[in-house]
Amino acid sequence: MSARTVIPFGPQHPVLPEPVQLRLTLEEERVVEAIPAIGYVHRGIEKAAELNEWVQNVFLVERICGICSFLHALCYCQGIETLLGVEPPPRARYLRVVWGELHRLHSHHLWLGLLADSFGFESLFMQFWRNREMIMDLLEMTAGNRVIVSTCTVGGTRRDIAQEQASEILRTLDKVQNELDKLLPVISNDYTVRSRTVGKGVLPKDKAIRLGAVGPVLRASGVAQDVRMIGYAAYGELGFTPVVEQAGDAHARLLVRMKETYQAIDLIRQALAHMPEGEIITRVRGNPRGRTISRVEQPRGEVVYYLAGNGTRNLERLRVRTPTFANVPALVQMLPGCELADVPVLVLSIDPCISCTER
Amino acid sequence: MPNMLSNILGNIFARPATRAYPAVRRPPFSGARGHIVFDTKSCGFCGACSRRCPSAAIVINRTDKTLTFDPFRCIICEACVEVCPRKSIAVDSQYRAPAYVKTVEVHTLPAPPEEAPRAAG
Ligand code: SF4
Ligand code: SF4
Repeated sequence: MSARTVIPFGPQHPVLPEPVQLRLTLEEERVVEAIPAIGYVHRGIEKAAELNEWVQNVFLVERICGICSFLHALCYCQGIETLLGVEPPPRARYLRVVWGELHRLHSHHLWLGLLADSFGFESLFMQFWRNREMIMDLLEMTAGNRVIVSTCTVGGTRRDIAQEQASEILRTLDKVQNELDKLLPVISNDYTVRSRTVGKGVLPKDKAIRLGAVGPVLRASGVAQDVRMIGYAAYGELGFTPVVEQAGDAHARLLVRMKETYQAIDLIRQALAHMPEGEIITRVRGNPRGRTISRVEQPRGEVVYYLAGNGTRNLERLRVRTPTFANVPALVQMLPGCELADVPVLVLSIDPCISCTER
Repeated sequence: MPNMLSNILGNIFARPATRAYPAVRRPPFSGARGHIVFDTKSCGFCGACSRRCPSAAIVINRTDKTLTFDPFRCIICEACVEVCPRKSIAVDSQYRAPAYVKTVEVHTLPAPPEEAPRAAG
């Protein structure tokens, strides 16, 4: 047996802007073991959620994650709506799809850029991030803020999308899709991209299920599982089918996310086309009582909220299981056997969001 | 690389995608949440905004009739704007400049104009 070296990978690392440490045991260049260490950015949000009133918590849970803030708020609001027995108006459900998918679109753009950056493909990184700015502008136009949109609230949404804003969204999405069309061949066929991702970090289907992987990681291993299939918000009416790839390697995960950007564009177009007129919010009375589980598909996978209310203005407990947490076991199994130089690509291939995970 | 080649060559001659900030600024969208402005003339110091504020940025003193607002705590969520019964709070689309020193704003009722003669008499 050759000599073993332990390398601390992170929490500060040039290609990994996430505060997670992986203790990598290496034999020469090959990883034999990876032990994750987290806890660098714990913020105590779950405890703060018990101290705030449940109406205020919408703004708090949005800040669990900057990239998918709307979807955290959506998951929380759906949970509270279940406890209160409130049904949001149909227009609000469609608006939620629009903002939800805009978030997925910009999140996937961000990730696609970061992945390109992780193997040194700087021009591809810049193309994706330039594209992403158009989506951020759409968010600012419709919601008033680029990142934390604060449009979802218990009982519906706080803002509406006017007709001219909807046309602007459609025009911008055409431009975004145009740009994506130029990048799709790069993602699927380019030599640089393929040599760094094809066959790396293979996660077979049975292992992905056993380890409880979620989101694009699971779908890239051939499992058609997506919480949007249960039809929350307006997904049930929009004819949603998940994107699935079979290979289970880093390239498959890349393709799943690339195809999901197209799917998000399509879903926004459909939602805007079929959006009914009417109210955007129902009046909410009383305080939540009882327990419930709420699930939403985020860009990184399924997020689970557990809410317990006792009929007062404060929740008894709020528990959040974020998608990255579910994907860490899969990551730890992917790494042994790979080269040290591939570790950043593989870590990024699960799209880790550690600040979410630690809350 | 061949797929990106045209893109790379194009970018050599294209204008930059970024702006020369701060010399060139993009005006904010009309509904953008820039910062919160108070109109204390109409405020009744009821405290509804302060109770709803998720970041405890507003403190109301009902006896002194003062409203203390900490713009550095404010997350510009508009929750106070929604609950204010007298529509005394509004959102401006221009964001505030960063600052070295954190300050709070204290708003009081403007002194009624007839107060001075009454004090004299
Ligand atoms: S809610 Fe409006 S009226 Fe009441 S204290 Fe606040 S600003 Fe004044
Ligand atoms: S905008 Fe939100 S954070 Fe700011 S003062 Fe109003 S309620 Fe508080």
